[in-house]
Amino acid sequence: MLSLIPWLEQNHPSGADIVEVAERFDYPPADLVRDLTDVVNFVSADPYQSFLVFEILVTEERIRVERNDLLGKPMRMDPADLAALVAAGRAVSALLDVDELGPLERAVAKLAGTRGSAAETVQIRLSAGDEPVLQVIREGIGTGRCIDIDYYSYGRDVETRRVVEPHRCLYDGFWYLMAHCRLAEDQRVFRLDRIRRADLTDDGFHPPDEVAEAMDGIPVDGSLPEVTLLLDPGVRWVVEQYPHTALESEPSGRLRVTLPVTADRWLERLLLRLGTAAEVVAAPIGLGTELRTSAARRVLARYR
Amino acid sequence: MAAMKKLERLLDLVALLLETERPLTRQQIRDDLPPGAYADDDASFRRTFERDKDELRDLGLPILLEAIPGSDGMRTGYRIHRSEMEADLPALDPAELASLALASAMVGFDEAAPDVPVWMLGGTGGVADLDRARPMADVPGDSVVRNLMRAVTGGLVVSFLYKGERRTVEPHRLVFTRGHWQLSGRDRRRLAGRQYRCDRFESGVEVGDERIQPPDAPIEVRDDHAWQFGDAQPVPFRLLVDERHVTWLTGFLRSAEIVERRADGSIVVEELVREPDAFRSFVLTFLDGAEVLEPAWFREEMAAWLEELA
Repeated sequence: MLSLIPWLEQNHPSGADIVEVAERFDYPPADLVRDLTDVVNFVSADPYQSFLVFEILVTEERIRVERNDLLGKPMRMDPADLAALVAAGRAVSALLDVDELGPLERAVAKLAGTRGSAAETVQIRLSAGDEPVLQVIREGIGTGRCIDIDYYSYGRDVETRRVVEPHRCLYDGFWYLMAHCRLAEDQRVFRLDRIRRADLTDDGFHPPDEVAEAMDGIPVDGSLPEVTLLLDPGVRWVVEQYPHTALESEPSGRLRVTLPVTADRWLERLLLRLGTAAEVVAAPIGLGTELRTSAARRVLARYR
Repeated sequence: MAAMKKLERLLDLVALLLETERPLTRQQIRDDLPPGAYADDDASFRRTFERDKDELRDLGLPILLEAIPGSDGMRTGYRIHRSEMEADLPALDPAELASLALASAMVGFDEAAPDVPVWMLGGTGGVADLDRARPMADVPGDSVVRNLMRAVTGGLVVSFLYKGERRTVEPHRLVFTRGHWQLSGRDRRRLAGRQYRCDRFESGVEVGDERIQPPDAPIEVRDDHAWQFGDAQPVPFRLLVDERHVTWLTGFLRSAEIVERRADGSIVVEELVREPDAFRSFVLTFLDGAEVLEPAWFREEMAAWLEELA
């Protein structure tokens, strides 16, 4: 696409036939039109890119690129917008496994000396030390090949070996992989730093038409078992950190919160960490104080 | 140490040449850049530096070679005059503009931005194999963050409610790390550096008119773990961790030193701790997959904590 836009401008200033363009760039015409339209929408919809001023006109048969007069001339831009753009550019560039300067890197370097962006005042850090795994997964996504992984399941506290069809990577505080797991025969989300080993296989797969836009959150619709805790004010972070279905302040200052429980091990960890700052006031059989007691004894065995 | 990426090296170089008040010799530049920026061997350093300089000049950055004051014109050094950089923004070509726009979309600043095909960044040679389109990260860009960006880039004093108290802060850095925006700066009431997590602000951000001078030693955002904050003297703690946790633990801790590898695959790591309570909370997330070895007093505290719950 990056080469397509300049090519259209230079060779077909009055527009080009969509089918011809699609053939030349080996892209299905319908996808081409959709993606071009997306760009136009995207460029005009996003306040951060209000200075992106080329316009792509798509009619039934032809496409044409129109340059706004401002393009290629010095721009003026709000320093905050500029800092945000440079920070985003750096963050994305840091994830690419290339070391030469492409258009993104050139843009960031050109802007780096301008006020606001030079002093690294705004930064976005997306790296988390698991780049080798990320590279393997990207290659799997790019080439449509499965990945063989050893994965530590935090919720169940066990490690399993699985073959997964990688669909998408997403950063949300940590890096996650959305994939079809052949062991579970279902969609699964894997946290990258819990993948102990990742090897690309020769086994191919057909990418799905649709990949979920985002990770499913923990359901708060009552479909999971729930525990109700009384929390001391000092451990309010629980309420900020975990989804809950009910929250009330007690006259004593304590908080009464009801949490969905995704896995026994998750609740064990939470109760051990909270210690006596949390009191279990309601829980299904097996998820109450007895769960905490048995977990505490198990961990204590390492110390006695 | 892994080689630093070229872009990061160039950005560090630009920052150094902008900040310096005197022209810097090649050797001074080499010494002042972070370790790993250039190769250790002299010839390849010289080659790479010359190439970097040419590349930056090609991009329009005015790197000047000037006589170093006091050397009677005998020695020359490099610098960039800020005055030459602060006029209008440089012109970007369509590919550069599109790439920046896509990068912004990929980090998900703007919820309203529709799907953008990431393969359009293919021109960089490496992104084509990233999964298609959609933002790959969710970096919030709400009004708090937007106002802080304006303040931190413009050097404007801000005030906001945080932990029940009105804070007035000279902002130095705004950094998205570990999934959250963090603001660092100088707290005017405490007369000290502080760091604030932006999703915990209890009010909007008021950006004042008062402009601060760029700080000589800006307070950097630390993405340390909870047990590394505070003013207490750091104490080395040793933790034995079972094999199944080793990969993520070493990636997660980063700063910890592995002091022992055992035959069963478990490891002993040493980590500096200022806040033992926070470290206990972390250790308990391993359940029976880890145990504190040292210091002995903290091992006893762990046992006492568990006994109360058992």
